[in-house]
Amino acid sequence: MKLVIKDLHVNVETKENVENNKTTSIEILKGVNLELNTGEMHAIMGPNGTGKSTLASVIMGDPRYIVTQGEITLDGEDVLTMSVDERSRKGIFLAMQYPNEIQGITNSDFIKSAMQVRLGKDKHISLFKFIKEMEKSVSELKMNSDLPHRYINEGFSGGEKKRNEILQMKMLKPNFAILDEIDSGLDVDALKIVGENVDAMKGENFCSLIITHYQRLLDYINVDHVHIMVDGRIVLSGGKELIQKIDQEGYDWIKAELGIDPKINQEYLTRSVSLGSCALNTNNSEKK
Amino acid sequence: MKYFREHIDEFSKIYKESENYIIFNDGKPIRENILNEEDVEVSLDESLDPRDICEVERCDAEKKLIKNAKFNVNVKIHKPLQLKLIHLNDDEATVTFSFEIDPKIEVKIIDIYTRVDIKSHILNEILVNDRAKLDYFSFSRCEKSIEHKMNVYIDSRANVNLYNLMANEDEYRFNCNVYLFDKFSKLNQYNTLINNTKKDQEFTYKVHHLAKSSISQMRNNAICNSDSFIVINTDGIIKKDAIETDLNQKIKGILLDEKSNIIANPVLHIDEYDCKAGHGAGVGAIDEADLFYLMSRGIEKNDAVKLIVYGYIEPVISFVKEDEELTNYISEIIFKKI
Repeated sequence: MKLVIKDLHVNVETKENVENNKTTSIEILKGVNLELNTGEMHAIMGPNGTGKSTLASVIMGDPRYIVTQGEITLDGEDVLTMSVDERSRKGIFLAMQYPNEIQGITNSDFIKSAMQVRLGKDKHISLFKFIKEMEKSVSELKMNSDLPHRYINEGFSGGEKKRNEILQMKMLKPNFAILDEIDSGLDVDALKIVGENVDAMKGENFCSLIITHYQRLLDYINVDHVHIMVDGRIVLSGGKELIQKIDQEGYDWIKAELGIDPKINQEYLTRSVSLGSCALNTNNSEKK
Repeated sequence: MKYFREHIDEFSKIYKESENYIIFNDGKPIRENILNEEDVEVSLDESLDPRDICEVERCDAEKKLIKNAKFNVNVKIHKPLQLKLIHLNDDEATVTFSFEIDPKIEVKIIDIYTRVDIKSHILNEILVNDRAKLDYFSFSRCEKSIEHKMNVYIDSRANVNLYNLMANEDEYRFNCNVYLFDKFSKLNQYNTLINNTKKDQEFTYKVHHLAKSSISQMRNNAICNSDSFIVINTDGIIKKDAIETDLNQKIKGILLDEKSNIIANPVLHIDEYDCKAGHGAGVGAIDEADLFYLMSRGIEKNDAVKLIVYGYIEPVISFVKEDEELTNYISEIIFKKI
């Protein structure tokens, strides 16, 4: 299967002033081109505020973003006209940076419902098979055995939430899994477990797009392609050698070699934009 | 009895001959099925006096209610058991029920107010004696305007879990006072309130910490649709000398249409320095981010909305999930409303 992103431009509307309710549109993605094939593992790296999380959210169909130009296709089919749930059933999965807490719905009921909708109305999941598979995945992720019976992400630690995203990925078996900073908030052991579980998904029907800031997650995931995103565009693609270079030298060499300033989108950061919160945190700490 | 016979098919779903139950008509016990007679005592014209329990004065409204009551039913529970109570009112009635749980026993009460087809005034009082544990589930689906009061008195080291699911069909006023009147008493309360009647419903929950090291936790979930209105008042009261108490109260309201309204009034009255107290309230439409999260796993929008709303009900209804017939009976009523 092939997921193709062509010349993707995306805006987000922000409230300029709460009192007069005026909104301003800011361009976050400024022409992204990317091709993902099942059987491949991709990583996207880049400074804060350059649009990595926005790209992940737009592929999944987050309604907060407005696509102004370009296309996303899945085996030639227009993804942008699909609803969020349709994209998921077609095989796209987003492991979120800040997964929501939803009271009153247990993890296992939620995952079972999500698996059921993939089967259609005439077929039903075998409860025995579901429980076996769930227990196996929970054990592989070294999660507490009561976790499936707890409400979705409610009262979970940051690390438990991230593992829970990977648990859902393992159970739903998507073709294209976008992992948005799945390593943030994980301790060294949890990082290894998550990394190894993602790497184990590698196969001819699976492709992962891993968004990360650090080499450490990619120590456990064998990626084939690395892309560097700066100011809303993918400015460089290559192999694993890029990971080491970023880890050692940061992003300043991009300016020297490519003539692109890897600056953070300041306009995007100074407005109350409800996304890319790692970038906003960075901006706040810079202000301090 | 005529009314009961008319609705026998409906009620037969929610009780079994193999369990303890009492069916009340207009406050009078009309059918009792107590498996071991020594376990439960039922008498009429007796009621609790809170002055004897924790020196609390009754308000005038309660005094009037007791005076006007057709029956003051008193149920004393002496042994660990589960007891189901089913209330039917077809004649305008003022009724009071009091329950006394003996010390050091564990009791589960399932209290169903259904087919209350006429304007009624109800006072429900529960005394949980020292070191006893009470799990109390109440489901209320009253067709006519009801004024309902409930007082719970919790003794030393006693532990009470209260689960209330309210799905009434008319104006409704519910006033609940819980008194933690001796040390190490504990309350865990979970209320889910549903209103789709286009009428006003008001719920007041007060927790009184009268003794040291008492703990209370309260969660209120409200669901409002079809141009309806809910007011939820929660009062956390910590009296002087009730040191080392811990109180927490939350209100969450969800509006399913643009015209419905929920007003939350969380209040704390604290007269002691050495205590912990926290409260909070949030009301709004379904969170778009929650919807996106569920839909991103393949669940269609309508089903995602249903799941989120069900998440407000599940923590309460799960309390009776082992009773499949009762769960189905309640679920059917609830899902018609939302």
